[in-house]
Amino acid sequence: MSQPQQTPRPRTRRAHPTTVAGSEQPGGPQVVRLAIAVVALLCLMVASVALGSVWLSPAKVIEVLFRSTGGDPVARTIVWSVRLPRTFTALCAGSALATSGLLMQTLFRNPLADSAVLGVSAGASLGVALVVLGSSNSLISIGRFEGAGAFGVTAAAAAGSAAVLLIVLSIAHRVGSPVIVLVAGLMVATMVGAFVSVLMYFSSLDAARSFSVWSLGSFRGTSWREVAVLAGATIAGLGAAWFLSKSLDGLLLGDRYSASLGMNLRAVRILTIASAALLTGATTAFCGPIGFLGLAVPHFARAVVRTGRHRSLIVATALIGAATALACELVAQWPGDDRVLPINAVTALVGAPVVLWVLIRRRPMGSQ
Amino acid sequence: MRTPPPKLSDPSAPLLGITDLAAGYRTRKLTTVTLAGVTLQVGCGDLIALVGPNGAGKSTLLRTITGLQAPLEGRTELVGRNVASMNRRDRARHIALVLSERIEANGLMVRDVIDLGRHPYTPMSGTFAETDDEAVLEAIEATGVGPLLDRRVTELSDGERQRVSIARAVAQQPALLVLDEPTAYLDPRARVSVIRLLRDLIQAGRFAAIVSTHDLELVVPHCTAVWVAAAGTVVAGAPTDPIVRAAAMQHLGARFVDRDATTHVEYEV
Repeated sequence: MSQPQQTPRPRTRRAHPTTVAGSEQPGGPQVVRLAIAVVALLCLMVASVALGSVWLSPAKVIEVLFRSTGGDPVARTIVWSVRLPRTFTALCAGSALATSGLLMQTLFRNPLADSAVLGVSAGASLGVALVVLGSSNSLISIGRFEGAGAFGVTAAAAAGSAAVLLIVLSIAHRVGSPVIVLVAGLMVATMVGAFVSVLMYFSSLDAARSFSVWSLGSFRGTSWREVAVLAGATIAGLGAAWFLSKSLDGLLLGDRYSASLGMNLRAVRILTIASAALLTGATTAFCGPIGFLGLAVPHFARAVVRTGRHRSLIVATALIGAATALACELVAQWPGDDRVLPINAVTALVGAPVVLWVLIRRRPMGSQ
Repeated sequence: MRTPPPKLSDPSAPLLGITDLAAGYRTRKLTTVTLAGVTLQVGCGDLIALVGPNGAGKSTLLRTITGLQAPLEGRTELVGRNVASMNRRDRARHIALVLSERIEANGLMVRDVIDLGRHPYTPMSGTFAETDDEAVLEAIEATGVGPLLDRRVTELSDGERQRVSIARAVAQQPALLVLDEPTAYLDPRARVSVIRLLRDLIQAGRFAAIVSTHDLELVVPHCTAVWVAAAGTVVAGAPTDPIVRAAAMQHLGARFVDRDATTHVEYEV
């Protein structure tokens, strides 16, 4: 156990009941809360397989999932080639985006940082656009990358993300003010977006159309091979973040303090950027740019585990990110027929209030 | 209370020895020398008041001592070893830092911040050994932050935050604590309490400390030596030293007065 227990803490118990509860027995309630999150995630996964344009009863789902033959062939096709890939895509994308948002919030020491705000998603889009336009494939194939193509597009998207992160981080080091950094991120996003539009202008009408469909964002239509690449990138990114968790805690104190604690700041920053870029890049390559999950979920996670320690926070963020993405995907099916709400509209409805809450609750940002 | 393990084999040798140091900034085009010809010593149990007008190089000197900035010339030796050639982790086990900037640490509890003091001792996983738990407990007792442990850092007053910052530094078990204007943004009451805490920690034999400060009247009565940074160099000596007094008078308008066997500070405006 990392926390000393015997220390007396009078008064605080009554004065701050909410903050005391989480750390009363390190591990205890936190584990319970995480277990609840896991159960919620499993329920959402089941719902995500059962619900859709056609209702499949749990019995039917279990039959086609666990028996290799027999059962309803239509149900089998729906589950195995539509709903399971969709479920796993949402699961990976949610945990990847949320964790990358957490990494960026820590790296920039800014509670409002995430891949959309800082222009990192835009960087990923540019990477995707460049690869697809540069290769013999037409843009129509976006969202349908097969085999080696999936790796190439993921790598390009991650590289685009990393490039934008480096630019915005160097701006952050010059200006210091968190608010200005957010504005700078939006400017970089706008610039990169403009470059992508120019690329689109020189591509065919079909390509432009499919690109704009892709840029609406969706967890649907991914193949199993794409899911495999996305899952691999997500696991690698989450693993790197977990590996960095001790140093990420140190980053929260600020550069001079973390250097005085013996941290190799440059190495930690580069690894954090690489991890965040991989997570954002892979998700954006397969699902399009998806906003607000990275911004909002770390705040949910902090509220659930009631700590800023990354070792717990990363686990909570990944879990809650996956659950939130699945929930958003379920809400997007709300019309009940073949029509689906744009996923970004749903995530914005979840995420934007969180931003407002953060803004209202905090002292003015940049006052330091 | 357990005092930290002795880090010095020869008790007569200085803890920190600075020889012919030149400090400043070197860019591709030009070198700016802020301080030159600086020779200083810190012994075990010393409390050094580093004073001087703004821009005189106090922070530069502290950055160089803590190894965050390479010296332009000269050497800084801590427990007989060159600070510039120590690795990061090793350096962090010997020197701790407290700054004037308010620690923000989004979401961290006070106990998390104090635990971070063990950063240079714990493995990559951050797992605590028994000695780490002991060091943190001791730091909590020594600094009296027990009642704050389960509060978020962002909920604390500026004075409480600085106390927590010092607790974190104590948990780091350094031989030398460097404080860069630790009282700069505090109200008068918190200033007094932070300096008293520092005095008590030094008297308990935990470490030697160098405090850069503008609060001469608070620090000088407790210190064992005064370093006056001004005019490109540092004048050092006991608070009773006439050369130090002349420098303090000339550069800060501060008059050192002996009363009740301590040196007090009065200003001439």
